[in-house]
Amino acid sequence: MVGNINIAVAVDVAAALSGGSPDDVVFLIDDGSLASEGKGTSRLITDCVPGQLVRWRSYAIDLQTPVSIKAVRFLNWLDRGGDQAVGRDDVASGGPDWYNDSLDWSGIVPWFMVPGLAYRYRLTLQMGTGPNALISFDTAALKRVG
Amino acid sequence: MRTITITVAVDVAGALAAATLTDNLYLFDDNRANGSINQGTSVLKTRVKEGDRLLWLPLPFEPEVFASIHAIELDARYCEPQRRTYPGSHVVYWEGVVKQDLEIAPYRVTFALGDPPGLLSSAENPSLIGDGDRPGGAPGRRETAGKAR
Amino acid sequence: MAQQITVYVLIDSVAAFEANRLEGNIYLMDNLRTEGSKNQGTGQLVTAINGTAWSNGTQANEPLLNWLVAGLSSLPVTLPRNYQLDRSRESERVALDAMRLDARALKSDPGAENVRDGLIRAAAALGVHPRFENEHGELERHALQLLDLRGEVVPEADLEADDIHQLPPIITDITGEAVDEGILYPAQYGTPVPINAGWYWSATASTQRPGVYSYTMHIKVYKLIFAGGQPIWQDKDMTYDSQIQVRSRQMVNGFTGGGTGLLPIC
Repeated sequence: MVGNINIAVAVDVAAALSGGSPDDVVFLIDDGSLASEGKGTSRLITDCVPGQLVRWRSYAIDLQTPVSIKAVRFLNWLDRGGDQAVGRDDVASGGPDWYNDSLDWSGIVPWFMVPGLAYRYRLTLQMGTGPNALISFDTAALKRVG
Repeated sequence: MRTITITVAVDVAGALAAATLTDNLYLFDDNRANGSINQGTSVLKTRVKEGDRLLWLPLPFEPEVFASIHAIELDARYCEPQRRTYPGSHVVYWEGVVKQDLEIAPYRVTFALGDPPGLLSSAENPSLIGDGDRPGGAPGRRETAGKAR
Repeated sequence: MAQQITVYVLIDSVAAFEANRLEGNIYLMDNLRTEGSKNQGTGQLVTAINGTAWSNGTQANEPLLNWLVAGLSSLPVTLPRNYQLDRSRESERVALDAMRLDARALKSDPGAENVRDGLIRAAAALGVHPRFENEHGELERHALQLLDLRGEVVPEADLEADDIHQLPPIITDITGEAVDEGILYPAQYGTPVPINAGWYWSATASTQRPGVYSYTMHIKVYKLIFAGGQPIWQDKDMTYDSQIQVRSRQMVNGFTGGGTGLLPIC
């Protein structure tokens, strides 16, 4: 019996604001009962089965500054050209972190995922307001195993 | 001949996210009683007289991120702030003596912020003010506003 | 998820002490200017407490407020924990070592004037421990020697200097409307962060009743005074009111804009 999956997106906000790359400043950990690879990095691949509820939450490692998840968009793997994101359109940045905090990034693993394939998603984080406030990466994925 | 502290507060995360000190810098001094104005703004005007010793002390909002006063640029005729470090620590402060009475001397503050540190300078400038001589040394018409008590 | 809010309370402690009030001598800032806080750098700060709630009304996030008090005529709060104590002890250690050497030299050559002068100089450079009134109303020796704003111990001869590090003000309690209404739940905590000898005030916030609420900070302000030529830290208790603005947004699903659905995978 498999339960829900919580994916924690931990961010070294100070380093991120100073221009660090996602590989160095973002750390993903999941608590699912199934396996996953790349734990603690920005390249986490989370194993899942249809019907499971997956939820993403962000945490600032240095706790003082706010960090929120502005968007999670799954890449269209059919598009050989690269990263055509699907899902809700991104709202132009301008809202404060508070608006992102009222978004519950959770959803149910659909049955039509092809087993064994890593479905990558682009995750966008917001830390405050301004040109350096957003950081995105698309190196993490979900993988159906059952 | 007084010692006057000028506290330079900076919203480090705000400045790094917006890549500017504008709206992220707040200056205060402990000389309001003698005529300093604009406390809590980036355009603080600190009232000074010849011989006053000025200390610029940092107050970064974030204890976890590197933030230090990198430079204070001010007309050397009036004051030449020197970089100092508190003995037994890495905390930097700046110190200078007011060399002559002045009317107004704006200055620019530059912070080093972040890991690795980048430099950001104030766009609007705080100033030293007084009711002293005009620049160049020649006595001129004195402003009557804001006499020191 | 926890949202950390820090309110910075800057006080011109010398002016406040002499004026017997904090009004006009206190300035407030927080780290939420871009999240809705107003009047940064003034005495009229309104701190934004931005809450989120699930559709059943329960609170989703946990805003946490911290207060950091600093004095304008005090050493920076970013100095390491116990900095003043370390400087105080270091200066006493150096002085004692020097005096011990001088005393030994005098023993073997009682007439050595340069050694005698050295001893007198070392004694003159010794710092001073002011006294303060403790909770029993008795004068007690303060653990710290007087330091100046450059981190140096102040010699006994220079006690009248105007660049002495003033003991920073401290918050002793937080009360008022926001506490009475069950919006703020304050408590005093210990912390490894180097401020107020490791103690600071913190509060959790309930965001289920939006609105503007005031709260009262109880602040103890210190000033160095001289009584009979002896330096004493005198304190005065004062209060100052600030405000919070509580708002709340309903949680909605990030993918659907409504309730939870299938992940939007191709």
